[in-house]
Parts: sequence; structure tokens; C-alpha cells
Amino acid sequence: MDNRALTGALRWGLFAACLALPAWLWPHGAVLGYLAQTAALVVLALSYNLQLGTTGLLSFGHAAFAGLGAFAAAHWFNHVGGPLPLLPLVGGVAGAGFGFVAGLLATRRAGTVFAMITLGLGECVAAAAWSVPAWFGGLGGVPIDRASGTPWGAWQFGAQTQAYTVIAAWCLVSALAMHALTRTPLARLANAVRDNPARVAALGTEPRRVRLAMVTCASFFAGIAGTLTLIDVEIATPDSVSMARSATVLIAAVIGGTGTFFGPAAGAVVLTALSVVVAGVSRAWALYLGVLFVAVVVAAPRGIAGIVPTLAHALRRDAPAAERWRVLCGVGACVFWGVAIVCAAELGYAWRFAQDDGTGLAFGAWGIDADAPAGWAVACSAAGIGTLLWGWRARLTSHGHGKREDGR
Amino acid sequence: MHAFALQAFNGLSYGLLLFMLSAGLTLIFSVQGVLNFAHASFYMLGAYLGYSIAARAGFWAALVFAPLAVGLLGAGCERWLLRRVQARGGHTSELLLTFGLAYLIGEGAKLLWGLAPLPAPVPPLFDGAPVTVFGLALPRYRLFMMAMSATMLVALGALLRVSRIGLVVRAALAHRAAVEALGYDVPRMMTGLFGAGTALAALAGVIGAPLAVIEPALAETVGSVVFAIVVIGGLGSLGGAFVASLAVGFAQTFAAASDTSLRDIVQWAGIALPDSVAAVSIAQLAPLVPYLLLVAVLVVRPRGLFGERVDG
Amino acid sequence: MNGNAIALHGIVQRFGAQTVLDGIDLSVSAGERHALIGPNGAGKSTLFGVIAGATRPTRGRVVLHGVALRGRGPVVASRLGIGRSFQQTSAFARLSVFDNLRCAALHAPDERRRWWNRLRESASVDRAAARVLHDIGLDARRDAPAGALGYAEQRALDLGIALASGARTLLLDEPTAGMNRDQAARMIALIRATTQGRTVLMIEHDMDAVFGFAERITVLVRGTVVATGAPDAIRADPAVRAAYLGEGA
Repeated sequence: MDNRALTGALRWGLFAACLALPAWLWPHGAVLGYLAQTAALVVLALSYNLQLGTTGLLSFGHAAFAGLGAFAAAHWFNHVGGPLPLLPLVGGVAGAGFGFVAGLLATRRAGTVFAMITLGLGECVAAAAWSVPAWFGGLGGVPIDRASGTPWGAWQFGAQTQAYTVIAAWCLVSALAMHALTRTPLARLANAVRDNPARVAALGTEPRRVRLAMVTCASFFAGIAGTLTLIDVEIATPDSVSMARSATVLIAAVIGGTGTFFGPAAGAVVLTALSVVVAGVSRAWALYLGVLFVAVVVAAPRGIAGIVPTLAHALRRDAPAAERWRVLCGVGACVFWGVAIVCAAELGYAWRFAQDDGTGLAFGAWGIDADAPAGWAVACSAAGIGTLLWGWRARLTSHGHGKREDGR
Repeated sequence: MHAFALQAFNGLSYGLLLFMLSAGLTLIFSVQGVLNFAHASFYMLGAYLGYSIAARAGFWAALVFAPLAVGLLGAGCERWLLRRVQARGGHTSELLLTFGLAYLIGEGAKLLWGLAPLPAPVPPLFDGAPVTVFGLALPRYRLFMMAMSATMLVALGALLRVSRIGLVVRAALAHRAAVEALGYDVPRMMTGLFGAGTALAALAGVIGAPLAVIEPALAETVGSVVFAIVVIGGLGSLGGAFVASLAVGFAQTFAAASDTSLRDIVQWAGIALPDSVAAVSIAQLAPLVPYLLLVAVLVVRPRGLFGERVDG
Repeated sequence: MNGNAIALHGIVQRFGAQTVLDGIDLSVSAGERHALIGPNGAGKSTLFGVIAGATRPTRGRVVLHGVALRGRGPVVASRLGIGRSFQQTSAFARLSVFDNLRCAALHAPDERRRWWNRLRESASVDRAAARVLHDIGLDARRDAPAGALGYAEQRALDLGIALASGARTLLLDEPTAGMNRDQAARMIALIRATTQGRTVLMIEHDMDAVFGFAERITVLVRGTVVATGAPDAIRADPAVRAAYLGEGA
């Protein structure tokens, strides 16, 4: 038990450190903006997992609650004011309200029907955001001025460091709250509803009620996440309720792994890194994200959070050789395939833009011409090596004695 | 009256186009039990491929080869991707996979054909003067498209109901193990049928392309509407998809063409709305029609209008 | 304790054109050990579904502990004291054995009112779950995920979930299915030990188990009750022999 408490505390310490340290070391606008974006998506992804991982509800319209919370908070801040640090609470309550109403419509069934209702509702909200300018501000959205709220001590929150402090604090608090929620008997009942709703009904709880409770809680934290974005960019736009945002949080949660608490947080970090850092150097980042997502769903359903323990287990000192080689082959195969895909995608994009603009160079400084066969040869050979390694791994797996490792 | 008839024709043609898409989706759902989120992406792929083929070899070649190619791709996806995921049980993973495929195909299309919208030309055979029926000028290509769509309904319905293949398919859906024991290669059938469903989507794409522009966002805009339709009609019901397609087609066309605003409606009901909301016209809400219908139907009748299976 | 735990009046159940239950009248006294036997397809599991509120009968009345169910569903049936174990093991596969029992114990009659039990762990719920865990003999598997249990263990867990829910009346659907003779005997002993003072209605095919356990037996054939009474009377009944016992066991 003590060991577990220690690792738990370490994880939270790491989480808090990741939030605080980079901001403290490099308090520049770009870094803070990136961290704020990550923090907001982390909260959103964790809230999404309250529905998907805990209760088994797949939603295609989760961003609607985040965005609606943001709009409500923006209107509240503009018309009522108040201290900025308490604004996420407004967003959260608004999100919970909308979530409750949506839940009343959607939770009588689970599975595909629930997913389709959330799709319909998400599309409705996304389309309404463009149609009703008074509530959603039209194209320009609803702006706020951080500094116009009630000051806290010496802080006015116009400065980005102050705003980021609020965001990071709320990210940590929300994560702690959601973690506590997943430890309650309610969450255990939600797990039971996920696994076997008929049995839960036979025991005496209406599965619908549990689902509704979880959807409302998830929407509360989604509203908070939306407000964190609002605080960061000082504007609530129709994009915050878009289906693209819903897709983003879904992808983040699945890539990270829905089976553990911190999985979606890891996914959110990866996704933000891809969409900001990689997007800065490559036009193909969205393609990479798609490939990663499909690869996770097909071959690694436990996500990043599932792969890391597998790796750690294989690389420990007393691991059997077969297991270690198997994992290394797997990792190697992924690396080579990654190289192949990156080459092909970059060359492909270079070729595409040669068609459009005239410059057909990939990889920036290395200037590999898309028409020359060299680049494609690299891609093909990398793919070949990757396939070989995967084949070796498969053979090692079939030779290996002992139980099959699932998820890989 | 003239305007009404024209609207009705437009609604009918739009509905039939939607049906062409939802037919393939329904087929896949009937066979696999999975809602293929990537269906509209295969539609878009068909449109793009058809455009490329037509540019080199003409419309009729495109009509044949684009669906073939996309069907093969679809079959491949089923064989190597979907089947692995299905072994895990539960429909969530399948939905996630097809969702990921949709995303991936969209990105692939952006890579191969660029971001700019491509105009697909109407084939010269149908590019003539509109046919006049009862005093209405009806564009030839639209008539062709509607004819194809109706043919598809009849052919699919007949195939599933009457032919032996259809019988085996329906049996496999209910008692897969029994059908396998009878000697049918059920996995191969599933692959074939998935490929057929995606080929149908691509065919719809080739046919529907000249009516609008081809662009990467095509899959999203059309896709969500088609899912809504298939769910409204009842997952797995071809007749339901037909009814729902027409319903959405008519409702959306009439809404888009109407002049009334929310204010007019609520005035009749006696409720007062804030100005900003009341000023919203029905035409502005037209894109919402399929989803409003979807939510309304699902809340009242979770299995859709004619559906048989219910999840969860 | 007198009064009927379960009273069925004229239950008819039709699925489309097929009549599965054709006018069932059945009463089970409180505290009684009652077995329901019959050939496959007789409608026994369907009858359980009707009693537990999972299926609404086409016609007829279900009265549980004196209160009419009126088609209000499984949640109300469980409030009226019905607990159920299923033919195909129906636990929560990804939860641990102990968590399975805790979920069930949360629904015990005195616990379910306390809504704060949903938010905070309750010592009384944990104690009740631990007690059932011990009774069904799965102490060693306390933290194992339910999906990883062996077959007999899973059946025991299934029983445990029904027990932990504190139901006064237990519907056990083929608890010894798929077990060899030793396992079956142990299962019956387990049931007898853990259901003291509760009403048990059990579907079974294993005749040794039935005749060793039941105080009263009802024979169901093709949707109708052919006979009902004490075990000896049933064994001797010629109609029953012809319809069922003569054909197999």
C-alpha cells in the first residue's frame, strides 16, 4: 500500500512539475501559450474519459459543452464581471447544465445510439454557433479583456504569466477532482454500467441515472476546460464548439489510452505537441496524427499509457531475453515504419506543393527533391526493414512460452 | 405552384442522392453490425478518383473503375484492419477505427488532390437542354442521377430479399457460426460485402460529383447528414433509409428555400423571443434539419423509424 | 413467515406469433426452497425474466411479497426483494471480485437509501461485501478481475452478487450448469448454506441437485405447468414421468 501511495504522489508531483517548471524556466509568450493550450486539452481529455473510459459512453460532440461553457463564461465576465480566477467555475456550471439537458436526451441508451445522438447534438450546436450572432458573436466570437475583472491582490491578470498561473492551477485542481471522482463508488457503478448494464438494473439502479450523472460531471469539467482556453486566448469563438474540436479530444483520449486515469492526459500532451511543434515544421502533421490514431486503435488499444508499462516491463533488469527482443523488434519496426511514413508524406506534400507553387523540396534544409527517386527509395527500404522486424517479432511471439501479452 | 413543384423536384433529387449514399452504409451495417464512419470518405474518394479517371478516359470509364478501385480499398480495410478490431468485441472499437479511417482518408485526399475545390464536369451526354415535364424544366443530369438512385434501391432490395446471396447474408448476420458450419466462408463474404458497400459509396461519389464541387470537406458535410439519415430510418433498414433520405431531402430543401423566420413561427404560437433569436430565418437553420430530426427520432424511438436492432 | 414471496397469476408471454408461456400460475412461499424443472425450451428462463421484471408479460399479474409489479421493470422488482443470478455468468468483467460484491452490497435494502454511499466508501458496505466474499469462498481471488476467474469461481461470484444485494428472494438460473458432480454438489451446499431464511427459486437440470435441495418442485413443459408439489409426489407423478423424467435422467 505504501508503495502505491508513493508512486501516486510521484505521479502527481510530476504532473504539477510539468505544469509549473517549463513556465517558470521560459516565461515567454509562445511557451506559455503552448502550455496553456496543453493544460486546457488535458482537462478536456480527462473529462472526456469520465464518459468513455469510466462509463463506456463514446461521444462525438463533447467539445460542445466546453465551448458552451466558454461562451457562458465570456458573457458572464463581460456583463457581470468578478475575479478571473473564479471564472472557470461559471464555465463549469454552465457546461454541467448543458450536459445535463443533453444527457436527458442521450442517456437512455448506450453504445451506437448514444454516439449518434451526441453527433446530432454536436452538429446542432456547431451549426447554431454560426447562426445566432447575438449569443455566439458570429465570426468574431465573444472577446473578453482579462484585465477588466476584479483584481486579486496586486494581480490584474492582463499579463500572460498571471493568466497562466490561473490556468495551471485550475488544471491541477480539476485533475485532482476528477481523480477523486474516479475513486468513488459512483465511478465503480459507472464501470459496472459500462460492463453490464442489465445486471446493474437487476441490482436496483437505473443505468440511465448513472450515465446521466457521469455525463453531467464530464460536462462540468469540459466547461472548465473551455473557460481555460477562453482565459488563454481572451476570446470564445464558434470554433470552440466545432466538431473538429470534438474530434481532437476524442483522438487525444484514445491515443493516450482510456484504461488509466492519466492516459488521456498523455494523449493530450502528444496531440498538442503534434499540432503545434510538428505543425511548425511539416505540413503533414495531421496525416501523422491519423496514422497514429489508427495504429493505436488497431494494434495498441491501451494507448500510450498501455505501451509504457509494457516497455518498462521488458527493459527491466531480469526480463527474459525473448520478451526483451520482442519489444525491441516491435519498437524498431515502429521506428522504421515511422521513417517510411514521414518520408513518403513529406515527399508527397512536396510533390503536391510543386504542383501548386512550383517548389518541390521536402525536409526544409536538406532540400530533397520530390521528383528524384532517392527519397522514395529511402521510404520503401525503411518500410521493408520495418516489415522484416515485425515479422521477427511475430516469430518470437509464437516461439515464446508463457501467456500472450494482450494489446500488442 | 410552379415554384413549389420545382422545390419538390429539387427535394426529391437531393433525397435520392442522399439515399445512394445511405444505401451502401445500410448494407454494411446489415452485414457487419458496424456503422462505417468512413463511408462518406469513400464517397469523397470515389468523387476524386472519378474526376481523375474522367479527365483521362471519360465519364463512363470513371463510373466503372472508380467504384472498383475504392471497393478494393474498402475490402482491404475490412480484411486487415476492421477484422482485427472486431475480434475484441464491442462496437466502440469499430466506430473508433472507422472514425480514424475517415480522418486518414481525408488527409490522404488533401495530399493527393490538394486543398482547392475541383469542378467536376457534367458528361456531354447529359449536358443538353433541360427536359420539360409538366411545364417544369428538369436538368437532364439530375434525372440521370435520380434514375440511378432508384435503380440502386430496387437492385439492392432484390439482391437482399430474393437472391441466394442475400439469404445467406441475412442468415450470417443472425447465426454466423451456423452459416460457417454450412460451409460458407463467412469472413470472405463479410470482406466482399464491405467492399461492395464502399464501392456503392464511390459510385454515388462519381455520380454526385457533377452536382457540386469536389473538396476535402465533402466527407464531413455529407457524412454527418448520411449518418443521421441512416439512424433516423433505423439502422439496417433499407426502406427506412429510403424514407428518411426523402424526408431529409424534402425538409432541408424546403427549409432552405423558405422566407419565414423564427419570429413568424412563434408569433403564430404566441411566444415572444429575444430579437436576435427571432431574426434567425428557417433558411439559416436548414443545415440543422437532419440533426434536429435525428435527435427527435432517437429520443422518441431509439431504434429509428423502421429499425430492428438496438444497441446497449 | 407466511405469505407468498412470489405469486404469478395467469402469466402469458408471446413473442410475435410464438407463445412461450401459456397461462402460468405459480406461488412460492416465503422462505421456501423451490425448484423449477422442465425440458429445454419449456420457458423457464423466460419465466424468470418475467418475475424479475426484465420482460413484461403479455398478460397476467406478477405479485412480489404482496406487491403487484405491474410491468415496472427490473429496478422496481429488485426493490421488492428479487435478486437474480444468470444462466450465462453476468458479472462486471473488468472490476475486481471485491468491487463486484461492493457494487452489489451498495444495493442492500438498508444501504440503498444512503445516497452518500455513492460518494464515499462505506465501512458497512465493505463489511457486507467481505462477508459474502468469505461465504462464497473467493477470499483468495479478492483482487482478481472478474473476467479472469475460472468457470466455477465465476458461478460462485454470480451467486455472490445476488446474495450481496440483500435480496429476500433469489432466482437462480441453472447454478450448476457446466459443472461436474463434485463441483455441482459443492455449489448446492454453498447455496444451502448462504440462503438460510431466504426464498430460493431455482432452475436446474441436474436431478440430484434438485431432489437434494428443493422442498417443492414445479415442472414446466412447453409453457405450461404440468405438476407442482413435494419431490416425492413429483417423482411419482405419471404425467411428469411421461413428459420429462421418462425421457432422460
